[in-house]
Amino acid sequence: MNKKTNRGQIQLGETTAVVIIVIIILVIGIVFWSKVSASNIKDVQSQSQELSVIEIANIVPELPELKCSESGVSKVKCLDWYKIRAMGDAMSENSGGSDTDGRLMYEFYNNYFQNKKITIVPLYPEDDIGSNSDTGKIWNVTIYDSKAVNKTVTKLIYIPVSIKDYARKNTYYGLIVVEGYYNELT
Amino acid sequence: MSGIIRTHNHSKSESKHSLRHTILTNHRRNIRGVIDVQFNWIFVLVAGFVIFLFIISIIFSQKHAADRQSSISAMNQITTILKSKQQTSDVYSETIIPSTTMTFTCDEDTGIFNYKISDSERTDLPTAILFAPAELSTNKLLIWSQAFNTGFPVSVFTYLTTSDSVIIIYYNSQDTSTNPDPQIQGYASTIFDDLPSNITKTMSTKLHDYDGYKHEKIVCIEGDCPSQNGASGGKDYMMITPGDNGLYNYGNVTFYKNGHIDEKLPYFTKAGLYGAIFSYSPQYYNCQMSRALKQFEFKRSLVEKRLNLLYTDIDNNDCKTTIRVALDRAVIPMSNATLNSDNVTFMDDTMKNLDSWNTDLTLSSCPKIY
Repeated sequence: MNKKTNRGQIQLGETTAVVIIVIIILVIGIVFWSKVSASNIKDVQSQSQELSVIEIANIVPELPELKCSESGVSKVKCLDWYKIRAMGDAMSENSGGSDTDGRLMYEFYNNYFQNKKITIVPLYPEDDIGSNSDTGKIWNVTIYDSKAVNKTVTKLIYIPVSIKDYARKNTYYGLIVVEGYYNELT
Repeated sequence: MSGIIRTHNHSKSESKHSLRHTILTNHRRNIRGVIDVQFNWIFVLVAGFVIFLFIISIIFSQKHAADRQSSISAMNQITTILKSKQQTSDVYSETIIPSTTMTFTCDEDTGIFNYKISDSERTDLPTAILFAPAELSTNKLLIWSQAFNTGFPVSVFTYLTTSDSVIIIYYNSQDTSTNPDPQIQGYASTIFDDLPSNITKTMSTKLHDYDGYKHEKIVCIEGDCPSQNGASGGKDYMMITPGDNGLYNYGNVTFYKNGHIDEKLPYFTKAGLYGAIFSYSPQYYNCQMSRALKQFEFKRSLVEKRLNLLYTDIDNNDCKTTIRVALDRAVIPMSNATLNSDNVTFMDDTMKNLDSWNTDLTLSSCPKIY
C-alpha cells in the first residue's frame, strides 16, 4: 500500500513538473514572440515614419502655392521665393492665432504636413536673397511648423531645390528641410 | 474439542463478517466507480464545451481581424488613390480595388467630408474635393480629374464613377421644331465630347433605355429638357443654364426631383460644372463647392500676401502699378467668396481681368501675379 502511495506521489510529482516546465516554456515563448513582434512593429513604424517624411519632401516642391511658374509652365523642383515668404508669413501668423480663418488655413495645411516642420534654406549664393538685410544672417523660412516639440524621435530629410527670386530675377540653390516628429514606441 | 469447535465457529463468523465487509466495500467501490465514471464524462463534456467555445471564439476573432485588416488595406489603397488624384489634373484612370461598398458623406454645416467601406470606420478626406454618388458598390473605380483654377490654381476636383453608372445627356437631335437652337445642341455635344470615353455616357432622349444601370444621371441644357417634352417619366434630372459667356464660365444648375425643382445652384468654371454633373444631390454638390471655396480663400490670401511682398521689393513703377491694381480690383475683392449667382458672375469677370493683368506683367518683364 505504501509502495503504491509512493509511486502515486512520484507520478503526481512528475506530472506537476511536466506541467510547470510546459508553462515555463510557454511563458518564455510568449515573451520571446512579443519581443520579436515589438521589434518588428518598431521597424515597420520607423519605416513608415521615414516614408511619411519622404512623401512630404516630395509633395512640397509640387505644391502650386510654392512652385515656380513661367508662362503657365511649372518648373521641376523650383520654388518661388515670394510664394515661400508668403506662406511662411501666413503660417507664422496663423499657427497659434485666434483668427478663425487663419486657424482654418493652418489646419488645412496640417492635413498635408501633420507633425512636420518644413524649412526652406537658401544656400548659394549667400547674397541678398538668403540673408536678412538687418542681421546679415542666412534667411531660412519655416513654411510650416507643427510645433510638436514634445515628441522624442525626429526624422530628417533634405531635398535640393532651385529658388527663383522674380523681383531680382535671380535663381538660387537651396534645400527643403523636412523634420518629422514622432513619439518613440515603448 | 469444544475449544476447537468454538474456534471454528468463531472463525466462521469472522469469515462471514469479512465476506460481508468485502461485499460492502466492493459495492461502495462500485458506486464510487460509477460516480467517478459519470464525473469523468461530465468533466469531459464541460471541458470539451469550453475548449470548443474557445476555438470557435478564436476562429471568429481571427475572421473579424482578417475582415478588418482587408477593409483597412482596401481603405488605405483607395485613400492613396484619391489623394494622388489631387496632384494631377485632366487625367482619367481606372483602378481595380477589392469588391466593396463605399459610402461618401459631406456635411454641409461642418464641411467635413469622409467615406467608409462596408462596416469599417469613416476616413476623413479633408483636402480632397470629390464628386461621386453617395454610395458605390464596385471593384473598379473610374476616376477623372479637372483643375479648379480661378486665375491661380486652387485645387483639383476628382470625379468618381463606376461601370454600372451612366451619364445621359438629353439630346433631342431629331426634332428640330422643338429644339431650334443649335447652341444648345452644341453645349450638349461639348459635355458629351469632354467626358472621358471610358465613362458610360450617351446622348439620347430615350431615358428608360438605361433603367438597368445602378446610377443614372440625366443632364440637359435649358431649352431642351425632358420636362419640356414631357419625357422625364418621373426621373430625376439636372438642367444646366449656361451664363452669358458660354458653357464653362458660369451659370446655374437646377436639380429636378419627381418633375419638380429640388434646388437651383450656381456653378463656375469647367471643373465646377462637371462637379454638378457627377453629384447625385444638390446638397452634396453644394457641400463640395463650399469646401472648394474655403480652399480658394486660403490660396487667395497667399496670393495677396505674395503680391504685397513683391510690391514692396520691386523697383519698377509700371510693375508696381499693375500689381497694385490687381490687388485692389481683383485679389482683395475676391475674398470670402460664396456660391451665389452674383458672386460667380463677379468671379468670372475678375478671373478674366487677372489673366489680362498677368499677361501685361509678363510682357513688361515684371513678376507675374501667379
